Amino acid sequence: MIYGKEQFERDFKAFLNEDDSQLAALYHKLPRPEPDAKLDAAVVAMARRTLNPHVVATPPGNVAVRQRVRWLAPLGATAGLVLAAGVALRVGPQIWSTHNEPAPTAIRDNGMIQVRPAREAAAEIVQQPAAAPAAEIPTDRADVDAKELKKVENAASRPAAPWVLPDQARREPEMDAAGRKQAIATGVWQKLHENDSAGTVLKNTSAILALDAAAAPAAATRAKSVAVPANATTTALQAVAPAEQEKRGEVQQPGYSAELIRNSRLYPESWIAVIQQLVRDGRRDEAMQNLKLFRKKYPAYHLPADLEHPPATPK
Amino acid sequence: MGAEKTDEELMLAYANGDARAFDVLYQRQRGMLYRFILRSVQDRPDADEVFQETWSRLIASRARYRVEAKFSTWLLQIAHNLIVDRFRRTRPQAGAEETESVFRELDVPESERPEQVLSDFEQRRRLQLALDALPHEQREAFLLRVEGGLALDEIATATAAGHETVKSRLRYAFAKIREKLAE
Repeated sequence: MIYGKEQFERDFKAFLNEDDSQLAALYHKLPRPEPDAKLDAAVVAMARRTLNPHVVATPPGNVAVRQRVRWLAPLGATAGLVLAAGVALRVGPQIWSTHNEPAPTAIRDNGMIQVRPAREAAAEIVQQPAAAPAAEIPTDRADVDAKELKKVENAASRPAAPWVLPDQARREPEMDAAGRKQAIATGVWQKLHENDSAGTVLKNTSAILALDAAAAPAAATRAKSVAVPANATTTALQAVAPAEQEKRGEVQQPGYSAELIRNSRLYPESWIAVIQQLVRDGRRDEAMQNLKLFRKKYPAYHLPADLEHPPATPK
Repeated sequence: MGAEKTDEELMLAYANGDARAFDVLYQRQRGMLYRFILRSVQDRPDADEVFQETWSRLIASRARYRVEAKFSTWLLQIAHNLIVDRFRRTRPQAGAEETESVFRELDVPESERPEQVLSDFEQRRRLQLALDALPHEQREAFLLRVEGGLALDEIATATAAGHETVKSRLRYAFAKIREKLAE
């Protein structure tokens, strides 16, 4: 028994003083789990973000998204130009018809040119059924067949219709979840809602795409994927709560609104975006509530400059 | 290539804005820290959360870092504090069912065992079970010793416990594990 105790003391001393004791050696033969790549990426991104707080936070480990962001600006500018040209082409005749003499529209019929008011031509464009691509006005064709001409004339004889948009487009259809997530991840969402002018462009886009929707169903689908309500940013961002966070089921705390709880389940980057949007919307109290809870939950998170010193409440 | 920088030098470099230093430091410590946390909290999602939070705290306090102790002691101290907080908040004790299952496995009578000399695999399995069955403080002290490679004083620093307390915890842990392995 005494020998056993002495042996134990010897082994314990070895365990305390040597890194390669028998027990330590056995321990090191156990499986050696390590953090997964996602966790590694999150930690490294956090470390870098803290050193460069001006860098916009992006979800960790998504290189493809960051690469897309690089050419987003030129793409956006090009798209803007195309849209502006489209607006000018589509809306131009309508504006002329309200302020000046209608811009004439010519139809060539076997060499004879008929002139119609632009308003009628535009109304025709809107009212033609989607499955009738023949409704486009044949200006550069010398021989229009009688049937087609009849259709054009019928349209011209109809009363000038107002610019009624189809219901689907008028409701400013919502983005599907995948599109919304991608828009947020790439920063398009924030850019689209950065200021009022962006919202205006967006609305114009809706209108144009709605017109296209009247001409072709494919265009309607396009409108659905692009048109977004200008004031829906906060709500949409809240909907991006990742599934795993939802699964964790954070306990609701008394005194916190449902919206605040929902926000608290977002990724920190998404939550910050929501808070910034609240500040921009002038909902300062809610923004401060969110910020307070955010700081509590992520004390180490380096806040962007505008949230470090949020603007004072206007009197 | 000059001599490898120590963990402490890397941490100071990171505090001064060298992101590459953090990468090296992280690569060195990630496995050890993760295993220490995982074996302490015994749940992967919890371990992921504590692991991330540990680094988050370290990053946040990088400017205050001073070389007063080994870097790993400081790192493990942060992890220890978070684990203790978690235990206090969510899981004061291991579930009865969990404990039962461990004891069921450990309480197999001698006569029912086919071999006295255990295979390597069996030894590892028993060590794992013995570790799981240890009270939290003893398990943590053991892990800080064998996984973190900390000496007695460093464990005392990391866990904010007295030297003798730590020694006592390690002694109990050592005795229980040996007992289970020798059964």
